[in-house]
Amino acid sequence: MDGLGYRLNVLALFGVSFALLFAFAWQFGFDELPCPLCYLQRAGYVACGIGFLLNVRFGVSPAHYGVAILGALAGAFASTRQVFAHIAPDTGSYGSPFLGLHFYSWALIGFVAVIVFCAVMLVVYGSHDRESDRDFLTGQAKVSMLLFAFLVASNIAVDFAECGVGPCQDNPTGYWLFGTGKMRD
Amino acid sequence: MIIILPFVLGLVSCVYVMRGQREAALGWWSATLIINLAWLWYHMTDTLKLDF
Repeated sequence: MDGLGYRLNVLALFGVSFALLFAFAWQFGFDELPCPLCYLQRAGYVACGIGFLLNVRFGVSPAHYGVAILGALAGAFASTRQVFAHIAPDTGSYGSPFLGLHFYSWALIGFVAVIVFCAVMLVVYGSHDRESDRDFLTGQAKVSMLLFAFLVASNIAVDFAECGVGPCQDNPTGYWLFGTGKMRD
Repeated sequence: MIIILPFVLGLVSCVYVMRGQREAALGWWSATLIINLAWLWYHMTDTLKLDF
């Protein structure tokens, strides 16, 4: 297998983790609570990150890129839904912008970037068969895998704290677990 | 169906990936995606009361 292709997948997994980490930083740094569609976009990043995780753990395979593309499409649907909810004039927005764009717009750009990345990798490396399970993982690969798994686990904790065991409120006002918010009716 | 379910199933999939069980990981990932799509359907067809 081409070493560059593998390293790019490690980098892509770090990129997905960075998106999840940045969402956490914004949530806690600016006290902006994620809405239901925001969580679905995070879940989309988790679903597409698993594709890169598979590539890092088992070796690059077209099937794993398919996993990443399907996850990115699911996330892109959620972010597009939210962009459309605010696309008309005087329809407001959700959360504060970063570099002029709201996070659902950034999320959509990220999902499109993942799809483009996978398409390019498939064009360049698509004819390669999946190599046998990797018996050696680089330090960066191990860190990228553990960081991603940690962020998925963190999302479970944060999501439960905010929404409990039901659907999240459309316009959340606090954390259900700490008594400052409530579950959706 | 709870909103943390896609993350829980995603974490299970991650664990199977790291344990080297590819087929099981793909199975759990499929469940993650299905739950995610079900939530998408729910939120694409209801009225969102966001900050208008």
